[in-house]
Amino acid sequence: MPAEHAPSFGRSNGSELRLDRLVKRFSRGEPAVQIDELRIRAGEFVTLVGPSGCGKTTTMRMIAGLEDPSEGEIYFGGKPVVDLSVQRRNVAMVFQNYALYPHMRVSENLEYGLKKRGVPRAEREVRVLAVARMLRIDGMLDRRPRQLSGGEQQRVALGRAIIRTPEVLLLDEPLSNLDAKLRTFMRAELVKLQRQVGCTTVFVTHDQLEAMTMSDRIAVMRSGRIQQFDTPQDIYNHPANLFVAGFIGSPPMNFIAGTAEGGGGGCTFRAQGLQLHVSDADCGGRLRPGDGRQVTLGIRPEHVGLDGGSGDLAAVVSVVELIGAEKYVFLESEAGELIARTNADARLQPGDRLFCRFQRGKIRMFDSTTERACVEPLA
Amino acid sequence: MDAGGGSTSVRGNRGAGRLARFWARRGNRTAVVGALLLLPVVAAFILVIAGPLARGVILGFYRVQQITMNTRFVGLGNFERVLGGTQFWNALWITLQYTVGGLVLQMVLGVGVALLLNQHFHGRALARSLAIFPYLLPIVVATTVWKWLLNPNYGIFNTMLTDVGLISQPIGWFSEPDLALGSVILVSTWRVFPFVVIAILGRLQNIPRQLYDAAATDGASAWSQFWDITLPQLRSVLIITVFLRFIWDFNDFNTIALLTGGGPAEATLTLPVLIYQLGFGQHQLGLAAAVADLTLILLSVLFVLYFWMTKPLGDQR
Ligand SMILES: Nc1ncnc2c1ncn2[C@@H]1O[C@H](COP(=O)(O)OP(=O)(O)OP(=O)(O)O)[C@@H](O)[C@H]1O
Ligand SMILES: [Mg+2]
Repeated sequence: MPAEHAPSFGRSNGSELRLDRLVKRFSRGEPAVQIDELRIRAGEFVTLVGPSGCGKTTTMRMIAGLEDPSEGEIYFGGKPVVDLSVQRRNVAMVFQNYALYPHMRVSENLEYGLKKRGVPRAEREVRVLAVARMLRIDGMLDRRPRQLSGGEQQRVALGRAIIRTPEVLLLDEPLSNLDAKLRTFMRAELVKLQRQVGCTTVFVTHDQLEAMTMSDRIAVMRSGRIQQFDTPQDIYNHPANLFVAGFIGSPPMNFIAGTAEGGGGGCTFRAQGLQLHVSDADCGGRLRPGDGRQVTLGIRPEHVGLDGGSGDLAAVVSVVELIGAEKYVFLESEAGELIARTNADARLQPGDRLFCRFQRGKIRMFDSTTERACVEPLA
Repeated sequence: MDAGGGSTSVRGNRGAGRLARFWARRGNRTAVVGALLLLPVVAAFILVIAGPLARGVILGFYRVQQITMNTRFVGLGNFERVLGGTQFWNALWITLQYTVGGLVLQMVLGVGVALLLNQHFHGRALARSLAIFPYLLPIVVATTVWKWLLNPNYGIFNTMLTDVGLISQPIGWFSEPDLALGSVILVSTWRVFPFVVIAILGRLQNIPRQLYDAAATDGASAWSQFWDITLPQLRSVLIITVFLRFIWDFNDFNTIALLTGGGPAEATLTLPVLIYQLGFGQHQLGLAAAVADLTLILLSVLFVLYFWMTKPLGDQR
């Protein structure tokens, strides 16, 4: 029976998840997490990304109720839950190493949460079967976790989480233990499953591709704080600050520090070996007048054109990497090192002298002192 | 194929050819060399362990002269005498009470203390070392201290109880026939429960914390988590601990010999103490060996059954 026709076992009435001035301190000093507000819509798929140790897991554990916040409140569908114990919150969590109960069979793993919540046996059996069919693990219900492959274990862990149709589903790097091929496959499966079940989902990953492809919105974290919370396109196209600009995108955005003069309709950007008039249209937004003169210009590698004759900035090719369908070209210029992305058949050799041309409309400007973007996206 | 020539030449020395082929395979060569290397160990084992063991077992079928140590084969005579009398059965019953009673107390106390010591609290390291202390104390010291603490004339325990008014006159904890076995069990438990603590604590520390997190999000209370996660995870270590403690307590001679010597009036006369008394008190080595043989058979049967029922190798990690 194809998965599409598998019996559904019920939809969650996923609820809006709101974090309000949430703070977690483990010791004195800077808090591990400090989130002023994060409002996730009912049924939304949100990804938390950020460098290691930025507080992603801590945030998830607070939402689950496994960790008490030092300050602040968490709301599920408008009702505060901080005073509710883990057992009484309607959340489910998939842990990075799955944490399946090793001494229980797959079926027992799946039904444990239902059992503890007093669901009668007959209904449990029906739901276990439905979830198992949906995740295609119905052939291994009698096995124990160690008799399963990584991908199968991962699906059991997912099944155990969604079988209770929780209001909020938390996924802490659930794909990181899988090999590349299975990851790609499970990525699509997970999104499909989430749509089907409908629970509000928070997903943690280190993998940008996962974040970009799976999420409705992405929250970028650094040092316990949310840097930007937006759709994947907006995060990519209009990073709110230098950190987000550098963190999202691979290879990362090129930065050139310089000065800006003028304002209102455009400015002149000057750096070593580079002088550029940047209009509002060139940087995809309205340059805020009166911004400081110290600015950083950002341009993504795919928006750096290479030209033998003329351009914005003279550069020398240092390294060329062929990445399948495209090439990463590492360049040295007076303004610093740059990376450009070209198609695979571009004929380039280390030592070649050429010019970089920054694609108009794709230039981004950041205030070098505040690190914030100094344009507002056009509405 | 050139079958004719080949087959005649092989037929000539088929045995040698087979040996050469056998030797040519690396796996076979390794096996032979391995067996040769094991020989000294096997020899030492026979000499040091199997030999004396067999000697002891065989002694049960002989009558041994007290002074000359001459032996005379008596067949099952010793066994008939042992099984026909009441002393063996009485000792067996006391041994079982001593072993099972002690085991239950040790396991409950051991698991309880291990669970406590696995919690996070200030001074945990100190508490852990203190808990192991009784096990480190030489048994002679431990028993002497307890005999002294529980002494009816000057023991602090009796003094305290009389002062509080719980008892009107001092109690002979080791000399009252009704109390002696219980007292011995308590002292033995006090002495060896740290072993259980160490074994259990080691396993507890290896149970992944995320299992508890997962169980909690699944709605399991602390009590459910203990039954559904902790206990199953402790299964194999519990099985082994029960096994070891049962054997050790069943064969325990020291504690009882030092505390009561089997008295008063056989109230604490366990099988090992009985064996000692028969063999070295009454110089009936043949009878003593027969009791020892019966003990060995009993324990062996018990543990074949035990492992058959518990299947410790099926541990679910
Ligand atoms: N139980 C704890 N006690 C003290 N500090 C903690 C504890 N848990 C986390 N931290 C600290 O809080 C910070 C955030 O940790 P967290 O595990 O949330 O990071 P993360 O974003 O999930 O990192 P990773 O991507 O490596 O999983 C880290 O600096 C960490 O050292
Ligand atoms: Mg983490």
